[in-house]
Amino acid sequence: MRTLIATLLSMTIATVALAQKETAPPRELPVSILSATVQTFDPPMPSRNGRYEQALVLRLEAERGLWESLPPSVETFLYIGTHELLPIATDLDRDRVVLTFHDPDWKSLQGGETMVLTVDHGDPIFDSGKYAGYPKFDPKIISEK
Amino acid sequence: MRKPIWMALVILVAFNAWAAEDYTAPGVSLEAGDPNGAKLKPLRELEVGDSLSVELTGAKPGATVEMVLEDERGQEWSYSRVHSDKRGGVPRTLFWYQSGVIGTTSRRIEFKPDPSFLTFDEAEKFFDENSLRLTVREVDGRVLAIRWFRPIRRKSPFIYPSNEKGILENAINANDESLYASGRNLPAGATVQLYLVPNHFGWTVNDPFVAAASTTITLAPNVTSFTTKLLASGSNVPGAYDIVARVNNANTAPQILPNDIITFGEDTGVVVYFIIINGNVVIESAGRMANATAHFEFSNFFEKGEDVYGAVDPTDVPAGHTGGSYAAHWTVAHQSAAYWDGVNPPLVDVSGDGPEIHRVKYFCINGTRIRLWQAATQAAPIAGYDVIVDFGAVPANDAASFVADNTYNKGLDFIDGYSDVGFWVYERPDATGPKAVGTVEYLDPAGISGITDPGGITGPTYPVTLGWARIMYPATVAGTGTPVAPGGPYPVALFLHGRHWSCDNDGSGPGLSGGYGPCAQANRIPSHEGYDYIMQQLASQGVFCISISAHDIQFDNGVWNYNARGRLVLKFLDKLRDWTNLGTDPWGLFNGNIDMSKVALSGHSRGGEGVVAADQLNLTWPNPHSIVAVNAIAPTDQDALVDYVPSAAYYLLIAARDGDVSNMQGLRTYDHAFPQGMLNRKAKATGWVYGANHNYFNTIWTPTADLGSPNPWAGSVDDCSAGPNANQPSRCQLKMTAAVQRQVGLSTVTAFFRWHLQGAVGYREVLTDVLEPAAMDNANVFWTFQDGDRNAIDNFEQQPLDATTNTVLGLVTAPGFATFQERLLNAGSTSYAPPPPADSAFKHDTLGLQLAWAAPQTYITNIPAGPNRDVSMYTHLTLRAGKKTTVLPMAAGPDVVLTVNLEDSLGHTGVYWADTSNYQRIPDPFQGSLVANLATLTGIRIPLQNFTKNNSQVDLTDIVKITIITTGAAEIGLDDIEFGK
Repeated sequence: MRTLIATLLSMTIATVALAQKETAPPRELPVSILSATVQTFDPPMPSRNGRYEQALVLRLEAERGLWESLPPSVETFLYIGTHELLPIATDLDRDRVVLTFHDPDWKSLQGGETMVLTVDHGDPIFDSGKYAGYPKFDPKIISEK
Repeated sequence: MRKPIWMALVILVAFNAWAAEDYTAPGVSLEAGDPNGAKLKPLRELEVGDSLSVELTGAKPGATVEMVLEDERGQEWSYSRVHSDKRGGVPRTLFWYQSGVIGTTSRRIEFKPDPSFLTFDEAEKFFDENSLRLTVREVDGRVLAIRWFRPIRRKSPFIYPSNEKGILENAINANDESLYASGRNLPAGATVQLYLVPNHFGWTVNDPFVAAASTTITLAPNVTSFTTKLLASGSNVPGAYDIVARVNNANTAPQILPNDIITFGEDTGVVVYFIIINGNVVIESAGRMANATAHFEFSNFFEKGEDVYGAVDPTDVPAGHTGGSYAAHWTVAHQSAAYWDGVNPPLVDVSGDGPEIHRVKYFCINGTRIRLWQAATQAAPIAGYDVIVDFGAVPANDAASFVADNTYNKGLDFIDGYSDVGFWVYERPDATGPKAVGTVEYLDPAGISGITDPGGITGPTYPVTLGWARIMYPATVAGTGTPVAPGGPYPVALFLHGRHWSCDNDGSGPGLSGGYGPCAQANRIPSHEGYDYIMQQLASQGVFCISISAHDIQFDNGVWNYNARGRLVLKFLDKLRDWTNLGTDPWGLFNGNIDMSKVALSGHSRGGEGVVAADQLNLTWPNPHSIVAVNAIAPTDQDALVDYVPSAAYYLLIAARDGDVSNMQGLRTYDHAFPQGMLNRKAKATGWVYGANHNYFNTIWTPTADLGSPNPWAGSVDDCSAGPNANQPSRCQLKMTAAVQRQVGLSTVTAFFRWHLQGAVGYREVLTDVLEPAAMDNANVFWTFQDGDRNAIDNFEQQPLDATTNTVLGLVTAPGFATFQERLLNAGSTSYAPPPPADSAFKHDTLGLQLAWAAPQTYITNIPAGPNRDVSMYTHLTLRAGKKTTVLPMAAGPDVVLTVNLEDSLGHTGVYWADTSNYQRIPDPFQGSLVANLATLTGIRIPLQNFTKNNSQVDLTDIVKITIITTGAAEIGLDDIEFGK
């Protein structure tokens, strides 16, 4: 069931993102969700706002060509509602890239939050109306690890 | 026998010509007329009120040329003595002003030219009946040209500065006089917009201006003249101004339009003067000759080799001054105000030829002009000087009567300097230095190891092995691997590029396709070679420069890549230390030649964040390095672990037209650096560049067309490539050329590094915007500078947000403002957790104040009793302000101007309100950005002297409030109201 939800969510993110694509370099990246697991870290992971011991770890897959056509310096941030997640890892394969994100505050997610992967940092928070039609976060995709 | 006859005939012809008719000697051409319009108004059209300039060709090369203006009775109206150039030409020389109408002044002037007129009516009556003869001759007697003319009664519109009676007054005391503008010969019933604008030497259509004052007057139906107040007394806008009048044109654009009347063009319209008494007569004196022979302009900056002139504006001579009309000009090393406040401090002239005794009181400033220092220079890269106008032991009214006392007499002698430097003599910070430049390439496939997960936690290990770098160093002769020049060891400048395609499919071949690695060495894009233009100049000045490649990190986009870049920097510094200490460099060149006690880092894009990370990681690095300065160029701010420079002086260079890091996230690195309360804070500065993009600071990232030379490497593009759209009709269109952009980087990075690596502290003034390098497009660079030694009265950082209480717990009042609230000035990726309510128009990450007003309002922040009231140890009041606009589509808008004053516990306030536009613009958001309405804070630094001059009695040890009065209608973000240096 989780796999089905994740697949449907991934397809929706990809469709909406591609519909937004313009001739200029893309600002958003269509992705598929590979996994969403809660992990515990020992020792805790560092961050600007202190360390965290547990986080929702999201692994997203994107087409490498599209990823390489993004502006080279600005990273794609994943927004889940008002949660702003910076990529923790980037794994390159021949034609795909896997992005890993951590959300230490995942317990505050209620479900229904808009999910956007974009280089326009902050935009999904400050101009959320623009993303009304985007896919929503569903806690059912989370699995304990 | 034949020769005397010929000579007599020549003399006779010349005399006849001189006596009655216009005459032009063979081979001579002369243009004379009024120069103040868009084109020269010829003599035959000269009207009363016009001025006279002359230019000619055909004189003997290097000849002394005299210009004399006389009337029919032989009375001399004006005289000028100039020199022809190597081709016998004399450039345009302005030497008779407003047809001899001198008007009036409230100042005591010892000398009044005779003949002259008080009013234009007097002049018109005189010239109804009298003509003038202009004679131009070489000093040995050869007449070059004669012109007879008679200024006619004025029929064309004329605008001039005046008193309330309509009498010309071209200098007013800003303290107690109002400035009026008068107009004549206007269309009946005309509507006239009047703008008081900073003086320019010549205006052209579309020149922008920032009005210090403006008003609009509509004449009654049958009225063609007016006199109206343009500037109220007590205004704080000292300086030289022109008046722009716009007749029957509703366009309010702040730029010169084709039919605008300008008073005056090549002549100054009006001087609004001030005198700092405070025991000292502080004036402007140092200056240079501009590109017209008789044109003198004040200046505080002279490049080495320039001649420094001095002059005394007659309006600067205090009423009742007891000195004579002759004085000695001393050029002395700059001293502190405390030195000059001492008892008759001695004077030591540094110009090499002693003090110059010259006339200093004359009706025209040009009569007081004298060269103080020929080809000024010194050993240091930059040094400050003061000019003392020393009236000697007794009043002297000619040079022979002058009796030297060789001391500064406070209140009698004049000083150009006092608490500020009178003038600077500097070499361009980017000047080619005395050293030849040697170059070596470091390339070792296994040169680097150990770039791993820093905490040994869960992050990826970086497979960084490639050691690749370009090194430029001071050498005995230019070339590859040439010996290091004697004079070392040399301080270090290390450069780190950012993320960019790492591989070109055909290497340095003609193709421009590429991507991210891995790839063979021949295909690797040498991004690190893109800063050669900075390294070359620094190396010639005695700096060891190395630019390193981050090739092995380029593919990655993860959270650890900044950490890896920082470690790569430190790894290379370890290597340099080994080279100089152990002599292990591959070329056998650098043993003992690298000064590791002074290291400066410059990083571009992700490299900018990488050098910030390096400074942070250095705190716990085994055997840490002595990093004294960090420069980030268009940096990212995406490192989840590190977000500010912790220990080194910081210079952020950031481009408003950046199409890559288009959200200006690098601004946050400035905001976070050296917060209030941190120990050992260092100076930080931001240069915010309108028109610059992301890539063009790196030549490898600049495409051939814009680089001006072939660039075979893939990925070189103008990153701001999006075209205009409905909301942004100028999106990406307002482009600074690549060469101009690089010059901004070159001038400012070299200034910053030479300040910190070589102790050339004067270059600090490049970053304070006091010193504007001549080679740089200063008009498009907006500075913020905060010294390490500063104290916040309100940095708005206290939570919960409360606009009515400042940082020192004083009351803040702002009645009448439409918006008065604190907000997080941020558009994402904040370090504030949890984030307070934000204003996303600003791309910073700081708590600040939102202020909006529809009509001028008053904002007051109070300082409670206690140590914060003593600001006497500081030199400047500083604040950060940025204009916000939400209007779409974007259109040109005016700057925001604030006026500021201080008050002490006895109620003393500065005589003059400080006008922020005199120190730094608060500009309209840049229209050419990829992002609309990009609100950005810029820094205002107001010298405290501004508030204490003219015997204001303001006590800097007991300041109780800071008052800001807004002008016009606008919305701004405000931050960091501080006292600093």
